[in-house]
This record gives sequence, structure tokens and C-alpha cells, in this order.
Amino acid sequence: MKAQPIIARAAFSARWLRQNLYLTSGAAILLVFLAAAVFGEQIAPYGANKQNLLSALEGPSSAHWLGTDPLGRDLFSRVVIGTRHTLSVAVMAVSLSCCLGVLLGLIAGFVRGPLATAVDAIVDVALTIPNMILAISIAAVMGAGLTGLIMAISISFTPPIARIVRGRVMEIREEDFIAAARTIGVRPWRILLRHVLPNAATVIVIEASLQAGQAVLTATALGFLGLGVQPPTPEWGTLLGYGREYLHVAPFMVVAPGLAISLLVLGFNLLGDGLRDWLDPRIGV
Amino acid sequence: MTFSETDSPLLEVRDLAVRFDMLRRTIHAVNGLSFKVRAGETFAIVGESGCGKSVTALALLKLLAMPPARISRGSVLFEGQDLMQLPESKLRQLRGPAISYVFQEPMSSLNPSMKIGRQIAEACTLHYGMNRDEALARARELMEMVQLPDAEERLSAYPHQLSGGMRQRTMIAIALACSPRLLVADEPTTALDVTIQAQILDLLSDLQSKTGTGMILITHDLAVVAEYADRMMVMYAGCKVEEGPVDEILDQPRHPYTLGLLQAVPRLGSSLQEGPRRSLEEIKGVVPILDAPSVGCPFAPRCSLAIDICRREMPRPASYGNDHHAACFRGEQVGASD
Repeated sequence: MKAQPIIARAAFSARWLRQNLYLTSGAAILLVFLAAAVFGEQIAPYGANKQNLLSALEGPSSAHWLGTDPLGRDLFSRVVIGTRHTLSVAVMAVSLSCCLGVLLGLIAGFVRGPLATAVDAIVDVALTIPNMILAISIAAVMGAGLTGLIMAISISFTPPIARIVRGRVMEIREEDFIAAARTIGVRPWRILLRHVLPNAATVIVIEASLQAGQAVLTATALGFLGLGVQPPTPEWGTLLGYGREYLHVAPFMVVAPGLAISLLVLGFNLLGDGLRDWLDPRIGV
Repeated sequence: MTFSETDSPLLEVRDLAVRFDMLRRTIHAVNGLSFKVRAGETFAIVGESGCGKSVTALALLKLLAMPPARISRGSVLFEGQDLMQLPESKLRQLRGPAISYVFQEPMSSLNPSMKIGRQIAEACTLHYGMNRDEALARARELMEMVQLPDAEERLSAYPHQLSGGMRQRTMIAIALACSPRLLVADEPTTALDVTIQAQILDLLSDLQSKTGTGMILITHDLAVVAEYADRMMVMYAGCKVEEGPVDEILDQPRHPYTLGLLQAVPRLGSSLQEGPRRSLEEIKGVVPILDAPSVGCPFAPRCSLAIDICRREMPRPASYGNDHHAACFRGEQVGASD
């Protein structure tokens, strides 16, 4: 009696997972990284800064899956434990850039007048500067370290979000239901928060997940250049920069963090594309 | 229903003019419009697309986007208070409890990401300071009032889960949430199936007779006017050309434009009942572009009765007894040649 619906539901879930392959595979990859970020020390076979000079610069083996660095630290352990830094930088930076970008986008798209024009102009100018250059200069000004890194990424990622939100808000602003809300005396700020923002949520969520992938790349690039989290913290970009110095003797040193970066970015991108297919049936199939 | 001139009107519009300032020109959308709506009556505004019906309705509570719109002169007296002189905050308090609107497009007039119940409840929380539960209870009442089936279930439905007729009932529920003294129904049935049209209009007139609300019914469907309205106003190019009791105007129009509209209505089975088949009359020409103030009667270029004076001078409304006015120099001749 009861088994029927459960089987039907399971079959439906299985079909849903198959139909949203991007979404599910992206989410699966991210879950693995999330586990690594939370339980890094428990998963890693060695400590992040545990030195063993006797086994320095060893290639991948059963004892050290991804090899060791010149101080004999286990690279697999360093990458696993370092997940926390890269992931939290990406997530925090994108959260910040979304808050700021949504705020600016709402102003530029909904308000009419000099304030909107000013916001629009600033966003336009900011969009002309290449993302990486902007991030590097902000990081240089703020100084190396976690705060500087997050600020650099979030500020340089704000203009694209603001632009996308502005476009969507301008579209929604002209909808009949906004006019209808005005006829029953809804205040402008309430219209903005209750009627405009929820209808713009889809594009914000999609853009945020795609941006998170880019944020990982920017964060590791800044780390690679020495502008990010400082050693001995095992941040991936920093690991990559350190590995570069030994590229000729120990090329496996850049493989470990490089693979991790690629996989994490892939996870975010799959999630973003999957979300877009799922939430916005007009684009893609 | 009959009214004497001494009844103080619910709404009195005096010499209202609305302009749209475009980049290179100014559109004269509404030109010196005056009319009155009394409490409890249904007042129809009739005219072709683009003649300024909806602009007039939205101008009452300054709901037009300004700029580009601009109310260049005139006053709108609602219960004796001039709405055009009120600040935005005061107007906002009147939107809903004083005048509320039902629009043409029920498909796009509801917020797609908000549940029906909360959309209806929103007006109650705004104007009566109700908390969430009280407002939802009121929403349930209103849904029963507009005969939405399964009110309890529909409270948590999203607009896309409702049919066009049900969405229009929802719009009416929202409009009635604050018990408005005047309801503006802007072509409420144009987007609906013919069978649903009658249901919605019956519902509106039923609710109106229960609540004593005045109603402005904007339409281009003269059959609807004949069935549901007490008095009517015919608009052309942003001007009032004729106003009066519905029966009288439909029986004996005094403006050639009104006559043209009447002759453009197709009649089912007319060939059987009235002998030889009458071909549908059209009004020749098109509505003028309103980028300059009109010299003379705006309808003169399309009018078969037009004489010299029609092109030189704006006709003043002439009275044809019992509150019936028409702005035409040749009102007496209208329909005489038939």
C-alpha cells in the first residue's frame, strides 16, 4: 500500500537527478570540497606543517599520494587542509560582492535621477578595468593577507553583479504587477524589497555561483603572486607559487594544488550552469 | 437609477489636462476633461484605443510615471478634496481605501513570486495595520467574496497555478481589500474569454450593489456599457465628446463619433430580424496624433457632418436635457439622415 508511492518518488528523484546532471555533479564536487574544508585535519594523513626532511621532494608514492615538498611536508595533506582557506575566501568574497552588487544594481535600476546615473557611471568605469588588474591593485593597496584578499576579490567582482541586477530590475520595474502594487499604496522601498528583489533572485543566484568559480581562480592567482594568504598557511595559490620555484626538479609540486583548483572551479561552474538550466527554463534545455 | 444635480458627487474632475513630454514633442493625451461620478453609480468611459481613457484613470491618483507625464492643469475633487494638491504620502494613503484599480491584464498584474494569499493580504497590512494572521483571514474572506473556489487552498497558490478568470477574481479581491469608495475597472474583461467576461462583470456589479462603491468602467465594448453602466462618457482624442445617461445616449446619440461607434458594433442575427443585411460601418480615418493642441473639433477631419466652423472652433458642450451633453455644433442633425 505504502510502497508504491515511495518507489514512484524514488524513480522521480532518480529521473530528476539525471535530468539535472550539471547541477547534481556540480553539487557533488562541492560537497567533497566542503567536507575537506570542514574536516581537513581528520581527513589528511599528515599535519599541514609536519616536516620530515628525510623524505623531502619525494614523488607520489603510497606513503605520500601527491608527493612532498622541499621540507618533506605531505602535499596531499596540505591541499586538503588548505581547502578551507581557498573555499572560505571565495565564498566570503562572493557573498560580499553580491550584497554590494545587488544594492548598487537595485539603486541603478529602480531609482530615477542623479543617484542612479552616478552609480551607473561608476559601474561602467569599473567594468572597463580588467578584473585581475583591479584585484591586484586593491590587494596591493590593502596589503597581503586574508582581509586584503577578500576585499580585493569582492570589490572587483561587484560591477558585473551590479550590471546584471540593474538590467533585471529595469525589466521588472515596467511589469504590470509593479504598477498594480502602486495602486494599492505600497511604498517604493517595499515594492523594491517585496516585489522587485524576489523576482530578480534567480539571476542573482546563478551569477553568484558562476562568480564563485572565478573567485577561486582570482584568489589563487593572488596567492600565487604572493599577494594572498602568507606561508606557511597552505593556501592553494601560495602552494602553487612555491611549487613554481621547484618546477624543474619536482613538477608534481604544482600538480597537487593545480588539480584541486581546477576541480573546485569546475564544481562551481557546473553548479552555476545547472542552476541556470533548472531555475530559468527560457535559456538552455 | 436617477440622480438630481444637487447630489454631491463622489468624484469630480474639472478641466483635467495631461501632457507627456517626449524628447522632441509634447503629446496632449488628455485635454480639458470634466466629469462627475456619484456614489454607488457605474460610470462608463468609452472610446477607441489611445483616446486617453486609461491615462485619465491613472491621473486621478497621480499614478502615471512623472516624468514623462505631467498634469498641466485641472483638479480632481474626491469627496471635496483636491487630489492634485496632495503630497505623495497623503496620496499613498488614499490608494486602496479611496480609489482602487482593476486592470486589463490579470496575467501580468500579479507578482509571480508571491503567494495569492499574501498578495491580497498586503493591502490589509498596509492600510489597516493588521498583523499577518489577521490579514490572511481577511484575504480568505475576500476570496470567498469574489467566489474563488477552494479559498483555503488557493491562499498558498502562486499566480501561474490559476486560470485567467481566477486571476482576475484575485485582482478584484485585492482591489476590494480596503473597501474602496471608488473602483476603477480598466477594461477588466478584455483579456478574458467571452464566457468568463459576463461572470466577472456580474461579480463586479453584484459586489458594487452590496458595498455601495462607485465604479468607473473603462471599456470599448458598448454592449458591456449598455448592460452594466448608469451613465457614460465618450472620449475622443483626449476630449469628452458626449456624456449622459446610458439609455439616452445609446438611443439618441448627439455626437457623430458616438453614432459611428454604435454603427461599428456588429449585431448577431441582424440580417434576419431587420430585413436586408446591413454592412458594418467603420469610422473612416484614424485617431489623430496628439502632438499639438487641436484647433476646432478634433473629430472634424473624420466627420461626415463637419462644416467650416467645426474646423475653426472647438465646440462647447450643448445640453440635450436630463444631464445629457454633447460637444458638437451639429448635434441636432446627428442621426437625422437615417
